[in-house]
Amino acid sequence: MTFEEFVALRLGALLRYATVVTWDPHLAEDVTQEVLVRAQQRWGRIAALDSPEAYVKRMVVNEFLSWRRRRAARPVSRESLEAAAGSVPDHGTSWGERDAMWRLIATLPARQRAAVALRFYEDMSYDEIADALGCRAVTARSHVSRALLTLREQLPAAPILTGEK
Amino acid sequence: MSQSLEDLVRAAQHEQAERAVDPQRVLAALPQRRTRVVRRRRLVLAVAAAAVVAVVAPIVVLRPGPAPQPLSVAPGPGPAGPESRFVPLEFSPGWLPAGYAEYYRSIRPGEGLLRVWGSAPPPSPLLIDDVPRRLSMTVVETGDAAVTRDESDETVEINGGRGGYRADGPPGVYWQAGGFTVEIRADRPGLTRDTMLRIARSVRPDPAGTELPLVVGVPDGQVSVAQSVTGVSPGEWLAVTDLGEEDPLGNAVASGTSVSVGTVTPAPAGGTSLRVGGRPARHLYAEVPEGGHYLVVELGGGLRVTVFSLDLDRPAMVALAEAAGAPNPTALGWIGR
Repeated sequence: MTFEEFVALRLGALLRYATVVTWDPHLAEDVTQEVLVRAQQRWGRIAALDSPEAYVKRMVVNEFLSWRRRRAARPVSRESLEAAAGSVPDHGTSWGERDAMWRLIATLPARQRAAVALRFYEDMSYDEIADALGCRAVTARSHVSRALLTLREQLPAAPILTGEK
Repeated sequence: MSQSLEDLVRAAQHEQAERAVDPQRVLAALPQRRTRVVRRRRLVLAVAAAAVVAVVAPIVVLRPGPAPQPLSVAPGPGPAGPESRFVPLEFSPGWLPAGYAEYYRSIRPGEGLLRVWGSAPPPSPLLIDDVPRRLSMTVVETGDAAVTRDESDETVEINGGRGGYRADGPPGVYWQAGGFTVEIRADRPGLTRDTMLRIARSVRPDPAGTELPLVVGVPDGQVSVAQSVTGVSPGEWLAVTDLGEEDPLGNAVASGTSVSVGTVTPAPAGGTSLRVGGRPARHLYAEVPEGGHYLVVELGGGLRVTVFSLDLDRPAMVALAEAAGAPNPTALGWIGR
């Protein structure tokens, strides 16, 4: 697969993935552009990997969590949330819970937010998350567990049906 | 709660995914982005080549035993000792708006040497982003290759060389001089096009160099991802080294560990008291869950070492603190000038 074919086929999915990882569409755009430029420069080697897309997604996470992005990776500000909330689509009667969840995910530390994205949006195993985040599997599990604990504690009081085991 | 927690998370994530920007917009911006990244990478090559020019021995402050020996910049087996890098500045501005002084220098693979001036000192070495108006400058060795200009940029002449003025985003000027491409950028509003061009046209070759301290012994398998010095004055500063690892394709990826030496610490107050290398120290966790932990060692004379890590255990952090050194005080004279 050439770089151009990869972009034509997967750019939309890559942007959606980056938007979930960063929780900020504009930061996701910036991160994705940066990653694509770097990926194109070494596409010959990336294309030879078993899963070029998985590698590019890992580049997205690394770029998001990198030193240069540390400032941008802080929990999303209240102002940003308020601004973005106006564009939230209406999904019916359960919207209140979803709205609360959307806002709470935005407040998670960057690594936890990335781990949750990999776990639930990408359906990755903890070994795969650990590989993507450059940590041990137990640390990846801890990131997800801590995030879920925070979300469970912060959601408006209501019965909790299940939890991450 | 009408849905499981995981289902709510997934629903929120899929709604968030719908907010992704139009892929066509990203595609349209790629050529311009590519030009900027290439320019930045060339800068790295210039800085990397310059980094082997000379070595200045720092002051080892914690490591017990005989006096430290000057170390080679080349990586050796096992944990390396403290090192310093002497990097030629190549160019400096001859004129800046009144009140502007230099408060930040950093070197990082992928970023190169970056210098930042501000219209007023930062309130603390920890708060360089709070400088009201900032001007940054980078220099890249490009040889005889013509400077690459973005299509939307205005063509300008700088000291006999052809360059560009960029008004899209933070205003910037770039041009070619003596085999280098120089770029200055206003990171805050307030500098007009005429002022930017005047600064650019005042830039002259500068034979001076700067010492960027590598204040940490880099453990096996780790690389220095970034080094920076931020200061309010030569007596109030912070030098930071971020550690990371190389991925299979050679990209340096930050690992969430950093070592800093300076008159301030990025760590919050409090923690558990202990001693490291015979010095008073404290260990504490970040306020945010899974936010990492800090080891702060008081060196005396108003200096302290801080090790921050997301993943390392405390003994490993102690080892990093013991390998840390402080830069030569004379290397900090540029701060605030």
